[in-house]
This record gives sequence, structure tokens and C-alpha cells, in this order.
Amino acid sequence: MSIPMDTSTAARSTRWRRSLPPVSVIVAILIAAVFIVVAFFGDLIAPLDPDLQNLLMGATAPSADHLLGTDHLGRDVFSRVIVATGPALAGPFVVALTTVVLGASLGLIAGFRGGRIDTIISRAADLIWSLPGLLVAIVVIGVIQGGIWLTVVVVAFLSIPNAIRQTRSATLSQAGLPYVAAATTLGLSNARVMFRHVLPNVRATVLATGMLDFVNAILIFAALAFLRIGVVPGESNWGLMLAEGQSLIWTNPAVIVAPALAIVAVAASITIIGDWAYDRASAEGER
Amino acid sequence: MTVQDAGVAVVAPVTVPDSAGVLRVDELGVSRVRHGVREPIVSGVGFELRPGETIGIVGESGSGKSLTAKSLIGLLPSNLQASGHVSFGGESLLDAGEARMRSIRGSVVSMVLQDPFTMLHPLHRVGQTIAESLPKTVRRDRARLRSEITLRLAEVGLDADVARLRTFELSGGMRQRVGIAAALAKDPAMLIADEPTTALDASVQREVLDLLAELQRARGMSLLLITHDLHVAFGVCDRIMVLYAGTMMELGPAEQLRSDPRHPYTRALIRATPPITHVLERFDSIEGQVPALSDVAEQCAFAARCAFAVEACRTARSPLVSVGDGHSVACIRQELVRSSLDMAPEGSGSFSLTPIETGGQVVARVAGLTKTFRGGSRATSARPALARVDFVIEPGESVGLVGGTGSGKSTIARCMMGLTTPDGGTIEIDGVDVSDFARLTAACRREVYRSVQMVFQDPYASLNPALTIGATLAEALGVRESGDVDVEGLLEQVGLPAAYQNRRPQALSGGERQRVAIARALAVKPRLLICDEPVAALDVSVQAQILELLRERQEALGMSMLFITHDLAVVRQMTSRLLVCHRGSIVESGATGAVLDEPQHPYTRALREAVA
Repeated sequence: MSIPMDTSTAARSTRWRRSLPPVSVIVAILIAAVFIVVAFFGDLIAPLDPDLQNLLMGATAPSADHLLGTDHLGRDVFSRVIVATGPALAGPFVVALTTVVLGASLGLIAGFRGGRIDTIISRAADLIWSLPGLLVAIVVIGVIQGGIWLTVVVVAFLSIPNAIRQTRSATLSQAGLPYVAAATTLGLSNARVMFRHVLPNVRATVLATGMLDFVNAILIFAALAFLRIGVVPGESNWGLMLAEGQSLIWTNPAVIVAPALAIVAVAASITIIGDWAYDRASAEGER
Repeated sequence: MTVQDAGVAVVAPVTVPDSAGVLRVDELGVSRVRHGVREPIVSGVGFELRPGETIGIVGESGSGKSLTAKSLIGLLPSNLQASGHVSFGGESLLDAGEARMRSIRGSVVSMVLQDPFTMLHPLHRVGQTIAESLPKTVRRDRARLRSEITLRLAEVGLDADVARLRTFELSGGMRQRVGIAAALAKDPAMLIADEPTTALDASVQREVLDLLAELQRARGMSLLLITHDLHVAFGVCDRIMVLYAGTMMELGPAEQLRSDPRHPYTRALIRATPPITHVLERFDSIEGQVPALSDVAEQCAFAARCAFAVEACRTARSPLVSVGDGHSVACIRQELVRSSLDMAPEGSGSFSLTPIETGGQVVARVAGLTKTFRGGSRATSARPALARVDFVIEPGESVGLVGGTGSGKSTIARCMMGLTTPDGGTIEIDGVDVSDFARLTAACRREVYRSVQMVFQDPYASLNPALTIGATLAEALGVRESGDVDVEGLLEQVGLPAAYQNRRPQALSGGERQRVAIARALAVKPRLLICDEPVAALDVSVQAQILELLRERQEALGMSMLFITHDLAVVRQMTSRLLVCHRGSIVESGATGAVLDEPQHPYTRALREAVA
């Protein structure tokens, strides 16, 4: 037989291989890690002052001085992309955190308690769900003229229904199992049964929902910035750079390619990591 | 059936050409290939099934009996591989291509599956289900099709009207009959039945088995019956093969296996099934659990649990040797085993269970309990789940509650635990009126749950998979706040090592999980323990361990027990008083022995007869 009959070395090497995530996920984690480092230390990493203008030079193609060239005001594109990373991720991160904490709690309560409480929470979620998200964001933020934190509040509000629905349906599938009945009949409080017994068993769903909300928020933030909503003119922002750089597509394509690639790379890598984390977390729950 | 000479010529009733209609299995193995490593699951299975013969493959879960059957007709999951030789009527089945196998399945070898509730298409009518399996020539001719369907339904004992019904309108037994009719539609020469009665009620089980035996006889078909229940196999099969951890332990004529089992495992299996006629003073349980074949590849698979094992058993696989009359056994110690084990039933009826005198007030009083489930289809809402149920549980008493599926026995338990709110009637637990748990204060509810606890049926779902065993038990101990026993002490009480507290449920076997579930219930020292089918999901050998544990704990703690089960033999071993539940009412009650020996109500009598 060509296949070894369970030699110990083969078994060990497969165990080692199994504990490592697939290559695509490793690449995604590395990309995400680079973005996180850049987000925290962007100001230190950026080679030049992102706001330093050189109107005489104007837009130039990539060169040794300017790795990704300059924009129409002569600002260094590479530095601007780097400095924009922090704000681009911070807002969506707060959005994801809010939706996970609020949405998962509400979904857990709705699914576990059922009855009138479920009806109220679920109908409210449906109501928000039925709003045309981007349109509402444009109108509200445009009219109130708020900055990034208003955007965070509006986007989080619009994202919560998804987290509620996902967590609620995951909770419903757990609530009927005997381990929940066993916890209830020990005389434990509802809160304890929900958060200590049910929550750990729906964590895969909560985690995946949070990751997807994060990605979704990154895209919405970029889209709003592209429409120059909720941003200050001239600030380093991927969406805004895309909008401002449109006319330079023939002079220096890097002005729009670089921020666009950054958005795609962050969104894709976090989606891939989220997918893998969900599979892992839900496999752990099984026997 | 009489003991017959199991020589080749005698078992095959008709003289047939050498291989026509004969299933030959030789050195059959199934292995899982994962990351390039081959891990054996079944190995060295060999037998011959002749036309008109019935062979039973008996084994506990994990013995590889289902995989053996599936490998015969090429239905193994894609990560498993079969090896060895399988031929039917001279044609090799393992080498046959998928197209050829597809034409063999159904028309030459057909299969009946275990779960009648999921095997039928939920949207198809019964007629459609059967028509789909009929040969093309019949399907095209409308008049003939209709008469053929009627004929096929009649063959499995169903009326022609049934053809118009949909799956959800059928009972479990009827579904299994439809499944059998569909499996037989192309008139196969051989039928494989994989646990065809496990999901059915005891009284229906008997009928379906009789039907299978009758069809097999009438059609001269060969039947391969897979079951975990030796007694089912004794009732139906000509020959029986006992599988353990993917290897053959014993193969021989059913009568010989029953009267003169040679392998210690076969003996243990027979003795592990509790009798219905009398109470055992001690259960003959088999300690330990079924190993993985890959761990016992070079030794006798049963050696670790065998009282007769010697060094030779642990260093080499025991070969299957003939002990005459087509009876062969894989045990090098079989001569000694045979001479030293007495198979006669012990202590017939002398031992009996009596309530422990503890005094104090009545533990539970249920009066006029009613419950009707609303919603769902009209058919189910018409009949109440509970119609005026009354009973009392005295201190230290063990009360049995038996009944079929849908009799309302579990609803009674759920009402007593506050998991379902009854429509009417009163429930008193330890003197507290708990008819409606929602109206109790939180403190009062906590107090009630210190008096009554429950052990659930499914050990695979009744422990929180996210918590360690230690965390689960510590939480339960926290409810009691007494501090005279810790997690390790609890584990010791249920016969588990202290190291288990760091494990999670998925690292435990079914029996071990049920032990943990019992420990959790006992942690609060309840006055009443409700056990809802606590052993129904467990293997026979493990069943006895859990029953022994429950009986021992009940006696040691002096608590009362409400034991809910469908199994009359089990209830005889566990209880002193018996309630028989049928269609939501208690139709008969009395001392367990008296009710089982001289049943009065027709329903009890039917239940009792289905077992005998």
C-alpha cells in the first residue's frame, strides 16, 4: 500500500498542518496586520508631511522623491494614503463594536425571551432595516453637517438590525436545547442563562456579524467621503482622495489607484479572516 | 424457529447455481483517509448471504455496522474507502462503476433506512413515492401504475387510500411501511434494513419486524438486518454476526448464539439487556467503552473490557475459528469462557425494590393536570396532550411512567419542571404550589429547583458545549451553597475521574456525558429526581452502567425518583410503582411487578405483549 498506515511522524505533521489556517487566510492576516500597524503609527511612518503643498510642482508621476507621485496640490500621495489609514479604520471599528454589543444583546434577549419582548425588538429592527441606508446617511449627515462621530452614530444605527436578526436566529436554535432547560431548572436568572450559557454558543455568529459590519462600515465611510459628506475639504481620506483625484487619472493614476487598492485590500482581508474565524468557531461548538 | 443445521446446503432452501443471488463478502475493510493517513474503521469482515436467508449484523454505536452495509452498495461517504471483495451473484460490487451501481441499487439490492421521519420526501404523496421506485414500464402505463401502487401498499399492510396522503399525515410506523414498499418496488433480490425499527414505538416495532420477516419469506428475498439490539436479531434472523470496534467477534446461527454464545462480548451483550420478568439485584454492565479500531489493530478489540483477557489477547488479533455448525468465534479463550460462564438467568424474582422509608411530607402531588397545545396542524390540536392526570410521589419512592410517543409522559415532566405551563390542574412540589412557575417569585422558584431536578434524554445536547465539566458542576453546586461536597466529590459519586473537570463535553462519550448530567442534577441534593428517558440514547452496555448508578444514588441519597421511559424492562429494574400513560391520561397504576405481570388495561396489555 502506498499510503502509510498511521506512522507517528505523518500524524504529527498533519496535526501541525491542521492547526495552521489556509494560505489565503495567512495572507489576509498579514495584510490586516500591516494596516493595523499603519493605522496606529501612520504619522511616524509617513515619509513626508501629507499636507505640505507644492503648487508649482502640481501633479507628478511616481518618482524617487514621491513613491506614488503627487496630487494636484503637489502633496505626497504615499504619505496621504498612510496617514488616512487610521481615520478610515477607527470609525468603522467603533461602528462594529457598537453593533456587536447592542445588536447581539438585543438579539439574544429577543430570541431567548420571545413573546412581546421579541415582537417589539424584532419589529423595531425591521423598521430600521427597511430604511434605504446610504440615502438616510447622506441626508442626515448632509443636513446636520456633523463630522466623523455623527457618521459613526448614523452608520451604527443603520447596521444594528442585521446583528439583531443574526443573533436572534442563532439564539432561537439554541434556546430549545436541553442544556438551556437544565440551566433554567437550576434556578439561574435569565440574564445568567443568556450570557453565560447561550452567548458562548452563538459567539461564532456574533463574531462573523461584527466582522462583516466592520467591512460594511469601511465601504460606507469611503462612499460618503467620496460624496464629500462628513469630511473636511483637504483632509487625508481615501474616499475624498478618490473624488479629488478623478481628473488626474492620466497625469498620475496612483492618486486614485492607491486609496482604492487600500480600501479593497482592507475589506477583502477582513472578510476572509471573518469567514475563517466563523468556520473555526462554529466547528469548535460541534462535537 | 428451530435450531437447524447451519451447513451450506441446509440454510439455502432451494438448490441454486453456484453463485446466483448469493452475496459474498470477504476481507471487507473500510478506512478513513485523512491528510494521507489511512485510519481503519472496519476490517476483516467476511460472510455469505444466500437467497432467502436473513443475517443480522449486531453491534453498538461505533462498531461499524452501518458502514459495513453502506460499503456493500457503494454508499460510503466520500472520505471513506472500502477494500476487500464483495460480490453479488458472481459480480464484484466494489469494482463496479457508479452507473452500474445505480442500476444495481433498488433493483438488485435495496435499502431501508433508519429514520422514517426524514427519509420520505415531505411534499410527495405516498403514491408518488412508490411510483418513483417502480420500473419504467409500469410507470408509463397509468392504469397499471394505479393498481400496482395499490398492490404494493397492500403488501406492506396499508389501504389503497393511503396513496393520496402526504408524509406528514402518516404515523412513524406507516412511514416505515411506505419506505419498505418503495424499497421493494423494483423487486430486489436482497434487502438491507439499517435499524428499521429504532425510531419507532415498541408496539409498532414488533409489527414492522414481523412485516419484514413475512415479506422476506414470501419473496424468497435475502435480508441483511442491522441492529444494535440482539433481541431484535434473535427474533428475526437465521444467522447473526456480532461486530465490535469494526471487527467480527462471532458469527453463527441465531439459536446457537442465544443458547451458547462463545465470545465474552456476545455473552456480555445478552446479559446487559435487563429482563422484563424480574428485578436484577445487580446489573451486568460492561465497564469501559468501545475503542477505535486503529487503537486495537494488533490485539483483540474487546481485550480491555474482558475479564478473561490474557497477555496473548493483547499482543495479537484473535483469529476467527470455527466451533462447528457454521458457528465461528474470534476468541482464543472461548473454551474457558464457555465452561465458566453460566448463561441461565439469575435470581428470578426474589429481589424486589422497596421504597426507602424517609418520612416527611409528600414530595409531589399532581391533580387534574390538563394541557392542550395550540397551533400546528388541525390534526394534533384536536386532542389534548394531557387530560386530567393525577398522581402522588411519596418520599423515597421510585415511580415509573411509561407510554408510547405522544402519550404525554414528557409533557408531565416538563410541566413539573416549569418548562411548560399547564392549562389546568395543580402541581405541588415539596408543599409549594408550582402550577404556574411564571407566578412564583424568583426566590421561590430557586427554592423549588432545590427540591426537584431533571436528567434529560439526550446527553449530547443537555450539557453546554462551551463550558468545561468542572464549570457546569460548580455552577450547580453554587445553587445549593452547602459546601459539603465539591466538584471532585460529585464526579466521584458518578464514577468519573477528577481530571474530567477540565474537559469539555465533546471529549466525553455519551455514557460519560449522562453521568455528568446526573451529577449536575444531584449537586443540589433534590428530594425528587425526574429522569426523562435517561438511557434511551445510550448503547446497551452503557445503559446498564447508568441504571446501576441511578439506583445506587437513589438509595444512597434517599431521594424520590420519577422515571419516564418507553422501555418496560428498564422500568421494572428501576421502580417500585408504575403509572401507564396513554393519550394524556394515566390508564393504569400499581406496583410495578403487578402491573407488568398482570396488565389490566388493554393498552398496557398491548405494550406488554409487544415485548414478550
